[in-house]
Amino acid sequence: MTIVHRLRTALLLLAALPATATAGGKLFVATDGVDGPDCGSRAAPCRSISQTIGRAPEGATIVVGPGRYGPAEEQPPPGGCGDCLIEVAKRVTIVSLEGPGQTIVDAAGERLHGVVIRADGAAFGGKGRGFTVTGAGIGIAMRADGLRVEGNWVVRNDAATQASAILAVGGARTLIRRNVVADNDAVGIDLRLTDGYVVADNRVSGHRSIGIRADEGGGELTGNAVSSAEIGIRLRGDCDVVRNAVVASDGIGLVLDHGTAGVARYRVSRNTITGSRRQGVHVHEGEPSLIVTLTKNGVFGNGLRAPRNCGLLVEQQIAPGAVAVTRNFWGVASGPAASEPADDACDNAVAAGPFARKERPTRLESAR
Amino acid sequence: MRTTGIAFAVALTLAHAGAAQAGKLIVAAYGLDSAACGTRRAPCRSIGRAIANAAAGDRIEVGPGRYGDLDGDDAPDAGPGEETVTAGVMIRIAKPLQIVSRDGSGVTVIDGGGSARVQAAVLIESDDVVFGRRKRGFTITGAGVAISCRDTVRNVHIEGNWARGNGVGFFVDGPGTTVVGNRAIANDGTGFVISSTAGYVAGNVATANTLGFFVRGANNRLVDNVASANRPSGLVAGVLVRAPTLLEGNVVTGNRGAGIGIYAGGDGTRIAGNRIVGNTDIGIDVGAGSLVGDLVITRNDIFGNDALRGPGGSVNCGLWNGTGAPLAAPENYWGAAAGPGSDPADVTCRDAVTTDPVADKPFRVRAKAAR
Repeated sequence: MTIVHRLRTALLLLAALPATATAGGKLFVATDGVDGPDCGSRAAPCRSISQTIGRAPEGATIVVGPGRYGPAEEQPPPGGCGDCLIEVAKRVTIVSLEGPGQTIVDAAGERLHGVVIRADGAAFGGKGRGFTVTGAGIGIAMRADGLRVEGNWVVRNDAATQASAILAVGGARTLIRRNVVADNDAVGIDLRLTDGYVVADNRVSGHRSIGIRADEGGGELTGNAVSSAEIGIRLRGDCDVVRNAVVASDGIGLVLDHGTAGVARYRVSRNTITGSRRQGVHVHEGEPSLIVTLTKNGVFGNGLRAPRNCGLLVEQQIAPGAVAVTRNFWGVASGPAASEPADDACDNAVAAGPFARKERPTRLESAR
Repeated sequence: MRTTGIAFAVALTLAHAGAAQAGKLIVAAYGLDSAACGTRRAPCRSIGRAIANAAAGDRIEVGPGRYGDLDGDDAPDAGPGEETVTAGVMIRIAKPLQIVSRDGSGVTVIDGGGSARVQAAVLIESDDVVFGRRKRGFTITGAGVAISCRDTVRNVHIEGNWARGNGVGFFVDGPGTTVVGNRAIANDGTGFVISSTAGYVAGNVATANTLGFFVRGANNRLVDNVASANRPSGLVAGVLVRAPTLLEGNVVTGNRGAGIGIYAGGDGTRIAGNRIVGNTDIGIDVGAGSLVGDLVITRNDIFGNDALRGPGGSVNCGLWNGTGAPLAAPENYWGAAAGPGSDPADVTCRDAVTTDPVADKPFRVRAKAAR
């Protein structure tokens, strides 16, 4: 094949591609768009996100304009998810043009799932370019590798009981960042069997059961502000918990569970854990065991009812050195104590010391 | 001479430091209430105690933690460090003070505990009060009303707070009150009730409440706010106006009901430069009793509304004129370059509306709060 022939073939192939693919892999959705076989250009946007995903090539970016995207518009393709509003079954990035306050994905109580993501490498939202997801049972559900969910407001998904607002099952390298997750049903952010996850800079508030839960798998929690749940954060499996704030839990602030497949290792550092009605941190011993480093945290103002003033409770006798507690601030300069205003290491299994003499400010962007 | 100068500088510095110290009180979740609490070394436990200890003009800084109903026993003032509830009010601000959180609303929670006794978590009864600042507000939850102020107060400023899970989020009154950068999320009733006169309400977000904003005081300016995903019990979900109001640069979108309702008392309202898009019912409902002669509706985006069948069998109704008199609404964008029409455009409905000239493309309405 000559070079001229190759060039001509390439040009013919290029011409045969849909207009959307030639426009830098970007497709557009708008409330004043119209769904059709050729929609998706800036001049002729689609009406529904689902139709646009169907037309998008792998790797495309879908830009969604202001408005509401609900059951009347969004019909996932036949054979797709049965009870979801939007299914992302391709490696695409879906962002809003004007941010979550202007771009509403509303299941209106008619679909169990708001958004289902099951393609490796897909992304939903971006910094300042996410969506409001509301009216579902599970707001955003995902099962794939390398997913990113960012910049969304996931609020009042209350159409089912015992549901999680953001749910990841399996997969690896999931990134959940800068979302507001508020006033949904049971759990705010829920990761099950997910490896290498990063949950960062989210604000999670108002859940009946748990703010953030990671059950098995392993990863990192950083920069999150979690408040007003029965349990703020509950972990089972290796996790670095760094620079989070867990405030006003109706039960326990942070629960560290024993492993199931092996020893679970937790590094809990520079967090603020305060306002829990029961204990601030609860280490749940069992088999296989766990190893905990609890250092440079602020643990104060917990144990607002029995066990009173309890900052740290280890459930039963554990191996020496399995729980290391150093340089934490317990509410007073003289260290942990059973009387107001200090918190105490309220189980006899752990000696809490050495301690910090003053509080380290939280200063999380997610809290502001 | 040099020695005198240094001595003067040191004296000035000390005097300044002393004044600053005298004007600032600290509240912390590891504080203890007493008649002398409020220093950095001996912070108060309750905000109410710090208010009692403060002098007019002081600043109270509140650290991260839970305040209010600490033990969740439905008796919000029975335990040590809990706020005292008097006549249904948990935190009463009856002197000019500035009250801010140190680390932001996400970590500083005022909790009414869901007790029926807490009609208002915070009540402002004095002039010249600041409650919250940018990035230094509070989360208020579990109260009848999260933040309220009396109709007599002047120069009140409310900023940077989140009200979630209350009956009403913000109930503001008094002449010239400013309400800036707050959020009302998932409250059972209205996010923001504005009874103030000549107030400034800007950059706030009301989402997933029953109604976003209810304006009943005259001559308020509502600028760059967001009302989204609200779920009404009546017709209007986004913004309900019953007094002359300036609405400018607001986003009213994705509400399960009508976007904006202008009813009796709302004549003299100006609706300019807003985005009213994707509400399930009518975009703007100008109801019977409004005096359309004083009403201005111009340079707005009005489209994607009323996708479901609205009252009176309307479909795609961007602007409902129910006044019985002709209404002018020039220079709006209706979802298509040609102006009002069938999908993807919105139409006008019921009584006559003059829409010419129409805008042939959408306006850019970039409420920063929507990000």
